[in-house]
Amino acid sequence: MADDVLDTPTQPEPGANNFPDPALFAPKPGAKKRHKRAPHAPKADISINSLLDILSVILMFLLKSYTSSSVVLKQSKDLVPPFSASTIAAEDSTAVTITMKDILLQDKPIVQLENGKVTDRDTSHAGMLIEPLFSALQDEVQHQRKIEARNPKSPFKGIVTIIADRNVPSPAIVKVMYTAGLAEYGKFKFLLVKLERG
Amino acid sequence: MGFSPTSKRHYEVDEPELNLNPMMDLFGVLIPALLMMSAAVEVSVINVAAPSIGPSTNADQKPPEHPPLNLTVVISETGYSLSLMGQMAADFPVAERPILCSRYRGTRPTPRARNLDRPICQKSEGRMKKQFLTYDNKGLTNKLVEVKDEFPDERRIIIQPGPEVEYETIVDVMDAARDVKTAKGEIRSLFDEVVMSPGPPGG
Repeated sequence: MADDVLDTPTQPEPGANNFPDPALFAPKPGAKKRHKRAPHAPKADISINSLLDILSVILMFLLKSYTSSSVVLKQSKDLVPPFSASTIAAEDSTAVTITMKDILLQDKPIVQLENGKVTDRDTSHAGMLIEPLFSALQDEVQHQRKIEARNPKSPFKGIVTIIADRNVPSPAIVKVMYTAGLAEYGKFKFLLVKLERG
Repeated sequence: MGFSPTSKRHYEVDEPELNLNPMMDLFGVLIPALLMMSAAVEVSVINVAAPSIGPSTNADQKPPEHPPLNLTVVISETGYSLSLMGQMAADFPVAERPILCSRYRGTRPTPRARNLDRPICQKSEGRMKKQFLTYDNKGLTNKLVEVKDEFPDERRIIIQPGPEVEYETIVDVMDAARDVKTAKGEIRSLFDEVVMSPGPPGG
């Protein structure tokens, strides 16, 4: 009778410790030892101060070069100015851009062109004066005169820089010059892509 | 007289670090934006005058000692015509010449209307020379050197482009007339005061 009791599997007695066998958590033979995590390893911060210095210098350089060029040539398929070996630098002036599609004053479209030609409905004075451009230039002159009255250091110079596509026919250029001349602009400059002399 | 124990105690105060990441982000936006806005190509200008209209405002101005030279280049689709004092001086017709494609990538040299039957200069053909009908810019410069030798004080040239003439041709004439590189490598100024006036109707 006593032997029967010993052979039967031991059942946990009610109220006894119900935890699993600690031997289950023992490392298996041949298993790699788990590394302990380093206690609070210092976080490696990358010092970006020197990078910031470099970027500041680049930014200043870009800002300087951007502000020094008063007339900016914007890259576009519709606007490819011709090359020239001229070495005269552009100066602060009113920019009139002529493409095969339109005429722009300070980057604002003023007149639509038909394949580089000014239509008759936009012209007067025997087709020489471009009316919408004339009124826009007059507004620009008034605006610059107001600036001149408040700040004598920036006088109205009466210079217009013509930025034209290389395919524009000559009458459009001549008409723009005529119109600008009547709107108090007496000096003209053609903006071109600088070509190194061979 | 001793210090109280608390006054000897040193505390390590961590200096607060500036968070520069927002500034880096700002720079990361500003620099590409400025790079895009800045001109990638170098530009220059040519000063041009328009013909004056009406009587001279300066009544005290003395009449010139010599009659005006009125050096004029008339541009048409057929070529250049040079005149002096109203008299025809020389003609420079358009002719077939080998042209370096680097200036005309994706297009043809001027006069384009007369070169429509020829293949355009491809973007990959920058250093290639192709045959096109073109203006005689060298011939014009050589003739203007002779005129300058004869009239060294004269600086003005009048350019009269015909209605079919492209802007690029006008600029080519201005370049041909402005100066010339001598055999010694020096730049000799020719006619740098350009007056542009409407050409004869119909070229």
